[in-house]
Amino acid sequence: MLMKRAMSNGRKSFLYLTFAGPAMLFFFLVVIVPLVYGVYLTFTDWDGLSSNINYVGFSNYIEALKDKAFLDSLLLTLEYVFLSVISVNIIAFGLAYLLTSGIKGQNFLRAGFFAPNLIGGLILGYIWQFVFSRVLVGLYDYIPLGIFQKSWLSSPNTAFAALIIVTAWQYSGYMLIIYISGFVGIPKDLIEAAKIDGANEGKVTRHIRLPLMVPSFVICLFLSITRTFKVYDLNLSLTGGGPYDSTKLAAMHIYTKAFENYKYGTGQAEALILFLVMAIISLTQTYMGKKREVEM
Amino acid sequence: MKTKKVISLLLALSLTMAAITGCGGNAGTAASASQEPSSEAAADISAAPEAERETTEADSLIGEPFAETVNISLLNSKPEITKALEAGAGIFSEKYNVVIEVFETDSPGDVIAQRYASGDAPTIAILDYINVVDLSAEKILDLSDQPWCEAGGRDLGVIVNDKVYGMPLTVEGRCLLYNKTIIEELTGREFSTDDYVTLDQFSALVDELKEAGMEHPVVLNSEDWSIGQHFYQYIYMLQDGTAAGGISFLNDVHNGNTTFNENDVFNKVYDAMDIFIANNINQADPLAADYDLNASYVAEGEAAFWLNGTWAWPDFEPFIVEGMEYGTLAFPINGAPELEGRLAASGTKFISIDVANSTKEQQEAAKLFLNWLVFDSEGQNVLINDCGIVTAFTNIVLPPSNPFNVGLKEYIDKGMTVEGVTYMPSDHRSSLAANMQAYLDGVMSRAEVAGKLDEYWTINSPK
Amino acid sequence: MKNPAAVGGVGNKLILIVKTTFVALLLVVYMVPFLLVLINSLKRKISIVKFPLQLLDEAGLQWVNYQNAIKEMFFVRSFGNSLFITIISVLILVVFSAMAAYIFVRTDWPVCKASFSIMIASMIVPFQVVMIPLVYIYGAQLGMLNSRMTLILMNFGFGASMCTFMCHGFIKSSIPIALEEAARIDGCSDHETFFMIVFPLMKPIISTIVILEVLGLWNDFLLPSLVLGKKELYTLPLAIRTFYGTFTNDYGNIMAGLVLSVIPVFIVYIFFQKYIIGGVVAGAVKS
Repeated sequence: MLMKRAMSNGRKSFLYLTFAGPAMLFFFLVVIVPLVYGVYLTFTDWDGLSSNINYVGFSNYIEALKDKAFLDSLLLTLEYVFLSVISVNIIAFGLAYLLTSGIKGQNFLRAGFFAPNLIGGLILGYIWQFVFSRVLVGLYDYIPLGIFQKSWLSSPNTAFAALIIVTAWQYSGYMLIIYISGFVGIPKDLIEAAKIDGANEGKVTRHIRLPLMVPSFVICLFLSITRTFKVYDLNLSLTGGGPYDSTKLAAMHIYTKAFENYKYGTGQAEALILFLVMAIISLTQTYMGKKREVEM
Repeated sequence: MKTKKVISLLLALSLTMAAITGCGGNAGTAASASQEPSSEAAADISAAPEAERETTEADSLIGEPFAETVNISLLNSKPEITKALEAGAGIFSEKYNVVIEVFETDSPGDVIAQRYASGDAPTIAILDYINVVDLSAEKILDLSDQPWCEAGGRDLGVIVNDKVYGMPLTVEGRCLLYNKTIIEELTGREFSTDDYVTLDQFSALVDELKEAGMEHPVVLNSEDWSIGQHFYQYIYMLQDGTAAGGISFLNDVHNGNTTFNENDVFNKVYDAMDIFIANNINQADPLAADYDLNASYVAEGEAAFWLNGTWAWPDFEPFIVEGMEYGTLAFPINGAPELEGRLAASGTKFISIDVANSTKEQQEAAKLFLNWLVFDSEGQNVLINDCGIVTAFTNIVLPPSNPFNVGLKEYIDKGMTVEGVTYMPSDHRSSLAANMQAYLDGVMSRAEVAGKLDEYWTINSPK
Repeated sequence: MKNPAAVGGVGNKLILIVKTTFVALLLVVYMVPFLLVLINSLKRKISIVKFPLQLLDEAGLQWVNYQNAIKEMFFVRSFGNSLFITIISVLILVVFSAMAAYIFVRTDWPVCKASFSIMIASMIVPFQVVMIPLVYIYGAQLGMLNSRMTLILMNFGFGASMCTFMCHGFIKSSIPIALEEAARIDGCSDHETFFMIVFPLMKPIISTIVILEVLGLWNDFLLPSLVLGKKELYTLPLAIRTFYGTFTNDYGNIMAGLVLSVIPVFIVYIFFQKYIIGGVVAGAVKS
């Protein structure tokens, strides 16, 4: 480690402040301070509007844990996260591999697969809603297959599948960039050396590419887990939680509770519970991954 | 290094652009603000002689122009009228030296909460009933002393603790929108809303239309606010036609004295719903119904009736066929002679004035604007013709601007209305709408829906 | 040295063709929604609603949608705002996150470990949890809203975690410490070592971060909507909202607005993706 040499505390402080200072300062001001205040608010009965704030202890948390709809949405979200993360990463990894293996027109293809990410937020959901409800159903006149007969968004299972498909479509392009960056960062001479030694493509992948790609895996898994847990915009614009609330994921439930039902304290408490669940899962994943990171 | 050069070039470019657009932006808004009033000035001059007598009387009700320009903001939660409001604000600003910046949203509840949380609340806010009630505690002005209260403001406004906090902006009707021309064509005789007030009469008409070739005469929405929220309101409104009746029924449920299943009106309303569902043009996939397509079905005459409300005109208009006539029909109900033929008309959007984040001057300017809308002929023109609404104010005599409003006004003038529902808690829609959608899809039974309603109202009380 | 492509000859070529075809097909499927946006941006709303599969509106290409979008979104002004905010935010993010990551990787001081852990943990926090306290503190209490600089610094605060995280992984596994040791021996200070040796080597990850952040910030709606109340400060996503109605939306105009908003990001991507390839230290150190 470079900076393991002996240093005065003054020198250490100087280095910390100049290297990490700005980032830590604004991170603290913008994330930590509001978060702490938000936690404080979960112990009050604030409804989001009045200046009357009373301390109510843990009652918001108890209400949150008793809220069956919330627990249902958490379970549904876990299911969604699991399926989405797997889809996203398999597709992204596979595509990244293909797109760094010397196919013709690589640059053009990379641009193309990245394109989905250009459309974000609510518009993404509206477009896909259009696809599932109108375009696919419109195809029925030409290709009379069962899957084109009704809008995918009208029944719970297909609507859920639609959510996963769109998530995979959107985030695979995002993770693709990271995986490509990882693949490209693998020194070519290592691969050449292995091939000279007689290794085939499969062995090269298993023993050289995968281990050196661990940082990329860690980042991508982390990002895809945290993003899919937090999903709101897509949920709102694609299915609106429907049909009949069957695809109402956790963030949507929380948002409704806090802002439409003015139960701000309970909503925040639920959000913190969601945060805890996410934290346990993703920190475990990151920790295990970082341990396997190979240092150059 | 090349990268550094590129980055510094981009930086310089962006800063330059920002500087340009920063200046350009301001110049842009100033230019447009000064353009509008001058085009209206010509109209002013020609209307002046007749309007003069009116305006001097009204002037005393409205108020005086401000010596120094006052800037206020207006949050509008009815995007369809934003342009009309902006134009109206332009005329108003010319006369009274008040500049109104109009913002819009389609989701007033959370946006207004966020604006108050950030200490940046709009001076005037156009909101839903429940939002005004929630804000009334500390955030908005008591408007009971305003001149428009006596002219209908108190009757249809938001009243909390006997004080008026919200001025009623729109009166809208929940009903069946119908295509008169196509019905008359298919039945071969004139259509009058008086002839179809009971469910049996309506059902017979639907059968007649089907025999004449119209496969699915009814159009139902899939949105949760429509098929969910609005539909439930029929149950409450038609208990005895008054708000008190609805509240008393809900209190009975709350106290365990009755259930929805036992309730006569509940069953009658659902009988009607079953007829609608059986004849729904979206039968094959009811939850995939598209709002715009629905509008086109009735506008073009492919179907005859749309269960919706008079607010739909701006979205309906793009599909209308030249020469076809349209109107509004009250919800058909059997066995309730006192309630037959009564349209569900109620105030829907309400205007409040902020007291927490605005200066006294801004509040006065806001009050002035509201008075201007109600008492000044140009203001009234903005309301009735440009915004296309039916108003609660008895002093405004301008005729309604579209066929749905015409129908609504007829029912109001005849006194054939039922009182609207203003007492639902804010989580009513998110808790219950899904059940109605399930019913529409044939996945839930009437008894199950009733059970869910009982559950909800046992925990909650009408506000 | 044998030419790898020549080895195996036809077999390898076949695999290449299969790969290319597969990817190309997948690309077409991927692009469908994007094509829909383009097609719908040139149709009237009525045609979009009634004839979803129709490629060309009977009334011709509706360039008027683009005119509407430019006019009603105050396009030039909104574009300028988006550009200014995005560029400055990304610049600040990249530089300071890389620096923080550097010290977190190269030292084992408890304060660094703790800082990094808090940063990672915070990435999990959903925005809605801090949203209201954020505007309450910086808006109602400190009156700092309605400023593009405030938004930029907030973007920095929110983005620092992910950027630092990504730089951390890269520095740890792709930057050989030997280079820095060599620089130290040559008499460079820690700061000089970072800016002259390490930072230039971070091109792939920085390019990656630039692309991802530009994308995220350009399309960001929620935070800007809370911070930028005044209309002349609106960014593109805020300006597009003008086409959203209460019950239904102005689809043609929305699509046109979207196409206009998206072109700049696409250009940034094309430009930066070369750097991901070009900036790799291949075999710089043979130990």
